[in-house]
Amino acid sequence: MSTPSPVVEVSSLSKLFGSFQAVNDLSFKVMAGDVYGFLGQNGAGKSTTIRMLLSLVRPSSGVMRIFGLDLEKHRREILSRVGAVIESPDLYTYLNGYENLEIFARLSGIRPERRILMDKLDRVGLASRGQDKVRAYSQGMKQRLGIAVAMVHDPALVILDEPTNGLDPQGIADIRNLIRSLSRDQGKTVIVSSHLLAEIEQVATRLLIIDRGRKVAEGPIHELLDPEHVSLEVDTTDNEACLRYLSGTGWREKMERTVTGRIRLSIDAASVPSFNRELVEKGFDVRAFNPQNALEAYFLSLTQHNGYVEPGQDRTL
Amino acid sequence: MWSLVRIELFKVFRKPRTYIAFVAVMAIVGLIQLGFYVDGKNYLSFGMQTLTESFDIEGKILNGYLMAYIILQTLLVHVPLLIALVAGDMISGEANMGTLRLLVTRPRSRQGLLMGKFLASCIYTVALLLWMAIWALGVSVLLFGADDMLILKSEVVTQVLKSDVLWRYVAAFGFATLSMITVAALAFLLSVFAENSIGPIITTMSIVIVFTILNTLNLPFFNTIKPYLFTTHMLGWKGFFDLSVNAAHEQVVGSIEHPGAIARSATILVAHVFLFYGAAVYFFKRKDILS
Repeated sequence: MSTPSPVVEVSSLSKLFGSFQAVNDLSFKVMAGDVYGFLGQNGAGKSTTIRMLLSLVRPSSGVMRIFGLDLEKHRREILSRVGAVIESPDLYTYLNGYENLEIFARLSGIRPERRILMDKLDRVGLASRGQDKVRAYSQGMKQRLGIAVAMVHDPALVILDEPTNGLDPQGIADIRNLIRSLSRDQGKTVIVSSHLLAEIEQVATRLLIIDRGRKVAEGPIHELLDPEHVSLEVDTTDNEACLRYLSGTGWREKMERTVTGRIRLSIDAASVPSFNRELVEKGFDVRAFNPQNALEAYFLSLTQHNGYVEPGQDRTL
Repeated sequence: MWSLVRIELFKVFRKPRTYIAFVAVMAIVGLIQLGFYVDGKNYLSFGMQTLTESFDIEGKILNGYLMAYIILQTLLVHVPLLIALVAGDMISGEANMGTLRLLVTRPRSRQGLLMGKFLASCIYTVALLLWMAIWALGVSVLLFGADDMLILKSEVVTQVLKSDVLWRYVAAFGFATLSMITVAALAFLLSVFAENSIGPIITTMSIVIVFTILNTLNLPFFNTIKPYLFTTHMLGWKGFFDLSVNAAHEQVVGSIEHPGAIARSATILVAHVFLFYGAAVYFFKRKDILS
């Protein structure tokens, strides 16, 4: 079986805005066919990194190779094979959808036939609204047109920066399906950044988590997320007393107090029923007993402790 | 490159604001023509009072050619604003809309994108000046008729023969176009630094106004810098209406009194265009697109 080649290779990438270090010594690889999730809190450096990958922002230092080519030296060649939606889908609102698509097709160096462009619009469900001015589009329609614009030149690498921003649940589901389809059916490599953990968890095959510009975790999502572990957030009628009790038990190693005063534990999934039973037997009235989203718990653990974790390392809180 | 220019022109002429300039030129020229059509004879006879006391002037003094000359004088006042309206929006407008990042992520060089936009600005400027020429010259000749043109200056009166005037207007509008392309280049440069088009438009107009005021101040310090200000040379088109005189003190038909001065002004304007455009390319190539 042949090893997939890296489509994107980033080495020691850094970006300083004045004295502010937006991205700090970031290195990662995106392999062909990956849906590469790019996760971080707002301001973590995701968008800056993506903008550097798209040559919108000049790196302070570091090397970016895409399709095996140096981005600085082969910018045009690389960009002819890259499609991107960067944050909000801003388009020419005084033009209609078809005209927007045609302009960006021509800017991408292709002379598309009307039939082909209409087909592209049809794929994102806008064929019937192609002659309407974009200013009359809903946010979801603009996002879909933005994706059609990104895909108009049939790129091999698709970069989606916060693609679900401002979308309703149906729009979010559509984007999710589209990302899956791009990878599964069309064999494209996708980089998708988001601060919405659940979205990334559902589509990504590999994950990069950054915090304050630094990489804190990277790897295949199934290796990073251990389904045998869960994070529990517990709220009782007397959290102080509950904490005092738990600190004298074997649970104390895995326990912490949240900023809202609740109790959080990282425990084996199999231990959840016995833990619940123990609290009830000791007379604590449990008001909330929330197993957190696996990725959310993992993400919070990393971004709060700010340490790099290799796949397979211990990730207890 | 031509495909980029076509795309930019398509965008420019699909924007409603583009047509503000054409409507404004039509309105301003129309108002001046209306004013002179209604009351021009009285106005001119008052202005030429001292001249008519000494000379017997025949023919139609208030004619289309004189009207075009009067209208061209207003060039410095309103046309820079109309030019900046579009040229100042070229980059900053895209940044404001968020489309700049889409443009820059296409497989085109930043320099190529900028050149396409700048050429589109220049074509728009040419179109606007052509439109002004049609109204200022063409419509004026239709309304007021054609005759020899008398230009009154403080010490001299220049008479340009009807048969000698048209080529001068072609040259004058050509020079005026160069002047306005200089303004467009300035607005274009300022557009690189801004995230909305108001800033470049206002700054361009402020620079034109301040430089024009400096031109009018007859102070030694300002006199040393005046030759280097582009506004000093923007009215160089007037030179096409100054005729040289021969040994018998007769005007020479088809001549220009100071062709060297016109050429120098044109060169300085061209230098400013290259300077402004070159600076725009320099900064745009290094600009982080964060909008």
